[in-house]
Amino acid sequence: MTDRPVFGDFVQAAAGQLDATERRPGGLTRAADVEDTSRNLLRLVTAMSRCMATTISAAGDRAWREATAKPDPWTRARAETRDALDNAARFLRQRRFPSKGADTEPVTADGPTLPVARRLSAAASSLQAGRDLLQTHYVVKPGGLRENRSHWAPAITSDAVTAGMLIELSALAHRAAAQAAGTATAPSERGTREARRNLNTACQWLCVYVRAVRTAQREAPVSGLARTLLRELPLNVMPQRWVPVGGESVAELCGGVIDTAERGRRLARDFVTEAVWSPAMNITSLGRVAGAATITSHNCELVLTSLADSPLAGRFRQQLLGAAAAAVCSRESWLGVARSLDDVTTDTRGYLSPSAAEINDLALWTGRLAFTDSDWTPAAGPRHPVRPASSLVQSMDDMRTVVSAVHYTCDALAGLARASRDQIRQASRATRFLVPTRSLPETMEVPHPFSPAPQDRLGQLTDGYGDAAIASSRTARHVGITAEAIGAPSHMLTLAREATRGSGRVPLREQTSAKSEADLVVRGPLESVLRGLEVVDETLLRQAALLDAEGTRLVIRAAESTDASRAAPAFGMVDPIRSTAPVINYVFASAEPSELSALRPPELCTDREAEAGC
Amino acid sequence: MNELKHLAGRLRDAGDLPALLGAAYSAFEAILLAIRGREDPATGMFAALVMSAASAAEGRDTIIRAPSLPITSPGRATLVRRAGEPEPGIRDLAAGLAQLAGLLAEKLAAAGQRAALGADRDACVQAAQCALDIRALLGGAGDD
Repeated sequence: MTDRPVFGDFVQAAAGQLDATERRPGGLTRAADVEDTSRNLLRLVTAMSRCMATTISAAGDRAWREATAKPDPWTRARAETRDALDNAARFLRQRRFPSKGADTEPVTADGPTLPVARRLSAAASSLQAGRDLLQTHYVVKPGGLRENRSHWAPAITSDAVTAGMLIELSALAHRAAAQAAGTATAPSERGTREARRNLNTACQWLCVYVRAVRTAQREAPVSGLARTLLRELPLNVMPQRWVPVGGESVAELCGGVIDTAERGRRLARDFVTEAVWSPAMNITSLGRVAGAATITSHNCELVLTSLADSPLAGRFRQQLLGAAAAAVCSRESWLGVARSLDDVTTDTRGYLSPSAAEINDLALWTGRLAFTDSDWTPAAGPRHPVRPASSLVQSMDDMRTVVSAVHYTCDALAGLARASRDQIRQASRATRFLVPTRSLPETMEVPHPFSPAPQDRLGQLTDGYGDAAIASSRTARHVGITAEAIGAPSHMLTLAREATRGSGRVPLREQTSAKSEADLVVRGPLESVLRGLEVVDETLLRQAALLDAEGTRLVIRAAESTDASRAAPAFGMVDPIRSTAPVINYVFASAEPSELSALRPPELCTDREAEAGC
Repeated sequence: MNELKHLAGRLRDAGDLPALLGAAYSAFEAILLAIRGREDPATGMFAALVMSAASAAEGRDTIIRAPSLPITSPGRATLVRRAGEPEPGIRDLAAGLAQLAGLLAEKLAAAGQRAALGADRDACVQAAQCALDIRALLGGAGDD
């Protein structure tokens, strides 16, 4: 719908990097290659940790820290995955030449030389860029508190998106572990044993990450929609201002509508804190906003009615008509606001706020979409026919585009009403609302042209905006139903709202799709070999899976007995060889939480201790 | 419609700035009251009427800030449609309001040039602009 990059672009790029396969260079793996791989895996793990931190709100963080004996599956998964990444990072930092910035910076200007390290490096950069994209939805205050900067921000920290992030990252963790374990277990030069062991153990922790997510997904499936929403989260930038010049195509008009709606909503929201003092918070701006929003709602009604007339509307006709009826209520609510403003004024006037200018533009854009006249303005005479359905949509793609434009508009009007109400509350605290004394009862002798607005009038005004917000939200919901039914891009707005409202209960509506579940399947080494040989015989595959499971149990038993007789944890000390690493990885991707203690990192020196010669 | 003619007469007859400001205040308020309740989406004039009402309210507020406006100038009492007068069709009403707004703009612009006080000048100029906006919005009412 818009050209803005979305989070999914970067995740997809990272996954693409990790899916790539190149022949490993011949000869022994050098110590520098192990170092490079570890360093770049650490960069990826760091980017994953940051992505997780971005989606977890302070409240969510507190919830899992304070979780009782039996936390819900996703709260537990958050804790376990965070722990897994921390442990992986600790092993990866145990390198021979750790340096400042190694967690985030590429190794050299030319980049790593080993293909695996290059792929991990590229994946880490992509994921870090994705995390930076999410971060644009927040501003960090001096005290470290995050403040929302967009209407997407609450959705990002919702339980559904947090779970979606865990699932998304687990797919990357799975790929990254497979790639890096190859370096750890490849024939290597002498003297690389410790580095390879640390690298392999880090890979095992990534498998633990995968397992934790898989367990949560099995116990409390999260809809594929959560991942869809996460992937579609856009870069939070102010779209460029467009002013219609006449003669635009329907697609161009829809683009103008969406960008202008987004600008108006954003500017109105940002303006709330300035309402106490800004001269642009005045009756001129409020009046223009109310008038333009009334007209915009009317234009939306006309467009929706036209869409319902289209042969393409089919079974969505009734939904479109329902949405048009809701737009009528929205129009009447905004008109009520405009009338309420007749009775008050402000201490300043004449300046137009930025959001008022945008909403004026929005009335123009939607008007040109609703009417055939490509130069339509509110000053057009009474003879301006409504655009017929045939001129509005000729394909389902057109239908999706136009429905999205109307959806964005109605959603923006709802946000605008809420922001305007908040602006008025702020301004009225500073006694910025006045009434002409002429409008007061004659019994009130006031020898000045203005007096402070009585509370009841301000109450009526804020109530009016509240009604407009409810009516516009209802219209947006109605349009959202159609948007979802026809697959219009704007249905992300509905998903975001549902995700935000669902905070506290994880799942979005549907069960996990088969595809997303398949992404998380960790196959044992024997089964993997058979599948690699393109064996399709179900009996053989099942036998291989059983042998893998039996092997798992054997390794766990061995680990337990070894662990009992050793001070150091078992698997962290295993010297990985080509044949054992896949087995160990598989064990940890499929084992129960109780077995994870075997993977705890050894007591590592803290930086301070290291400086003291620990 | 008779009320609009009466207001136009008051504007023409205003001999000094206070009288003109009083008449302008009444005219803006009359335009606002005439529009409110008549914003019917079916007429094709909906957008023009809604935005005209905003401009009328804006013009009225501007006039109130003029120092030379008498505090006791006629308020609401003269602005009610006279009993028995037939309600005009929306296009006739819009055309009548556009005509009144045109006269208002002309008189206020002229008064703005003559006003001695800066605040009066500003009020007249800005209110004239509001009146021009109304004329532009409603001026197309008679177009076919």
